[in-house]
Amino acid sequence: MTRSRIEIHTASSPCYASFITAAAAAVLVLFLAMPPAASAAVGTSTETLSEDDETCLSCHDSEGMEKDLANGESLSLHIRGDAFANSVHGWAGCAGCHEEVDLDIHPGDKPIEMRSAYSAEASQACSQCHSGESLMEGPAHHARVSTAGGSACSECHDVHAITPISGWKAAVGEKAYCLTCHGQALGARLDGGESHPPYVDEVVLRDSVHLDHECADCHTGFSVESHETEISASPRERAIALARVCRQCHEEKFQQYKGSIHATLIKGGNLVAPVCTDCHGAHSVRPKAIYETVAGVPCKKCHIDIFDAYLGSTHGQARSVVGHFEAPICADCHRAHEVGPVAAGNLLRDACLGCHADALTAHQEWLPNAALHFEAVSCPACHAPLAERRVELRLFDGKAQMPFSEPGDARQFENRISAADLQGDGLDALELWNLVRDINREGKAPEMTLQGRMGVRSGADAHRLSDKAGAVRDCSSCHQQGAGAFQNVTVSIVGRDGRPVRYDADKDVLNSPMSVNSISGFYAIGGTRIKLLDVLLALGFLGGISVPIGHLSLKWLFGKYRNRAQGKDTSHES
Amino acid sequence: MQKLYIHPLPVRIWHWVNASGIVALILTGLQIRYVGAIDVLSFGTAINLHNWIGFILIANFFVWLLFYLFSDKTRVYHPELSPTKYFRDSFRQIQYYGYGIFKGDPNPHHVTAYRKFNALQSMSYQIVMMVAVPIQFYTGLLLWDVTRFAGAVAFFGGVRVVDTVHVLLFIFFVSFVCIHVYLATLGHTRTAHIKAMLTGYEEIEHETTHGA
Repeated sequence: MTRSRIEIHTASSPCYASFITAAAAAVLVLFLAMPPAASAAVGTSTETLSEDDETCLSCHDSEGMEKDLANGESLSLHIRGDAFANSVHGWAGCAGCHEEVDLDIHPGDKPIEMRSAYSAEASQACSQCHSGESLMEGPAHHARVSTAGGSACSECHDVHAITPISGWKAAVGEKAYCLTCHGQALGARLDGGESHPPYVDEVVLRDSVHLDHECADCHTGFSVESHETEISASPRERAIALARVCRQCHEEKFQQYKGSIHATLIKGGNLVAPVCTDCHGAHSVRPKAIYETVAGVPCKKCHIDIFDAYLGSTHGQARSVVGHFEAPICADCHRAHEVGPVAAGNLLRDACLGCHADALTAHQEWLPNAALHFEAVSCPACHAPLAERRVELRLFDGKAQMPFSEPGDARQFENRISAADLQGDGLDALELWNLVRDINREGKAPEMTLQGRMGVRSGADAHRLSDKAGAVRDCSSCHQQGAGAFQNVTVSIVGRDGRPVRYDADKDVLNSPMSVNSISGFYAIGGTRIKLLDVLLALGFLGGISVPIGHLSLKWLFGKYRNRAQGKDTSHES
Repeated sequence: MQKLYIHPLPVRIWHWVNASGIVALILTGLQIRYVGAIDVLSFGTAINLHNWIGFILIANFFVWLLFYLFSDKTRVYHPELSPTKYFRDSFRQIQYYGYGIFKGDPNPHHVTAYRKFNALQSMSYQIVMMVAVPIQFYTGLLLWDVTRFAGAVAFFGGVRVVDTVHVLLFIFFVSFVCIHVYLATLGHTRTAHIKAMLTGYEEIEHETTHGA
């Protein structure tokens, strides 16, 4: 990142030229905003002009005079003589800038490709007096001169009606002063595509809850008299740094945000994760209620696929009804500022139960082991009937009674799991068993187990919640061999940022005898039954009926012998 | 032919409730475990039936237990303390079932009101009634409400361990029932032992009684 930093105090600056040029941009805006009558009052006389200038104006002061350019644009050649005469450059006359033009040499036939090229070329004339070095000292020009493709001087200062700043600066308020530059969508672009100076839409600002604040309330270090010039090569980094400003007034929210997954990602160097202004807007901060509507919720800017899924859900449809605030929207489940990582705890289940407080009781009326289902099955696994489901085997630290977290380097454990997967095709039952055994053998976490939980595969799926009637109630969708719910299995730990780090496992780990030890905490009758026990059952049954069949067969074979012996006994007795 | 009262009413009630219950548990257990392959009952119905029958059999177990605890008939379960005699009787009984019965030898065990089990039966029923049945009931109870008994489930190694034990005993009972029913037909007639368990009276031949 490269930065150049110059701080000037315009009131005490010795450089009058820079002062004038800095102010001129502001003047232009003010000038353009003035009603025609006021504009006309700037000056109506051309007495200060020389004879040569009058000669130029004899043609160029004609309304509608223009030149057709090569690219089809037209370039206005009309110059208002009185405006030029009263401008700060009136004393210089036409030849002061147009040095190559006199009454004998006139570029009337000179081909001009396009207007912007001509403006840029014409700006060269300005630099004869207003050197780059002097311009760099002023905030208004610093950015434009120091960024590639800086726009032509005339974009702000007009071409000929250039007016002094001193006449109006003291009369305008701070906000209006700032907006003279920042209220324009000027042409300079930084590497990230952002405009510079940063554009502030005055219309949007007017709707902001911060309208009553002055710019300097947030942008400390800036005022009418003082302007810190700092251009960051990474405007995103600058925006993240500026988020601290919000803390000045919203400390509580900041503390909540500080513990969120968003803040954790930012801390980890993720520049995409949101800061205050990404959700609330920098200058368009709206009332809280706006962010709680389907139209205004900011989360969709990043999570649009999830938001679309939500819109189709029973919650989204209910919330879409204007004025209906009972159904939850993003922040009601995920919370607004302390957004936690999903799928790493019971946060979201508790969010569901926050509204559906009687859910457990209602489920207990028909669902055996309802409490266990609440522990081992996420709500969307049944209430998003079209979702693709997945079993997540979370490494659980039995000693600490909490999910196992990445112990050191962000990829340390992931690498270890990769190493355990000898074939590279996902952990099979033996590899998983070895992994758990090896971890426990180290003694660092001697009670490491795998806790299974059925969830859905994607965040979007998790939001496709149906109404109660559409939820899965067919137990056989899980409790039979080959059920779709058990076709995707992952092993996970809690990563450094709080989000799960997942690694694929073979689906057969759920049906292996080795799972009795390694996945002792997850079992769905029928669905994850151990196949070896099926074989034993068949053998047990065959053994059970083989005994009578074999014994009866032997009795039948020995029948003649037995009858003869019993007949002999009978004859003896008789 | 002599009639001997060896099955008191509480024992007979316990036995038939237990017998029908175990068959029902096996059938509902098969339905629970093999949804998709067997679809006679819905999974939920099978679970509920299995649970209810299980509780009935647990209660029934205490009928058996209390009767034998507070009755002098408890002697039928007393183990043979002499190893020599125990192994000799067991060997004779195995020899009878494995050979003697085919050539019409008499059953070496002579039934009395206080010694209705032969050596093999005595050992088998002690294991079944004191070990297998209580463990099966206990694991069933844990599986009935895993959350309520989470501590015990964790103590035994997790729900998968508990379920595996339950299924292994289920396999044992499947085999046991098959063999038990067959042995019950080895009286002096095919139905003699079964009738005895209905009436309480065993018909004792002078020298040729068999046991179930």
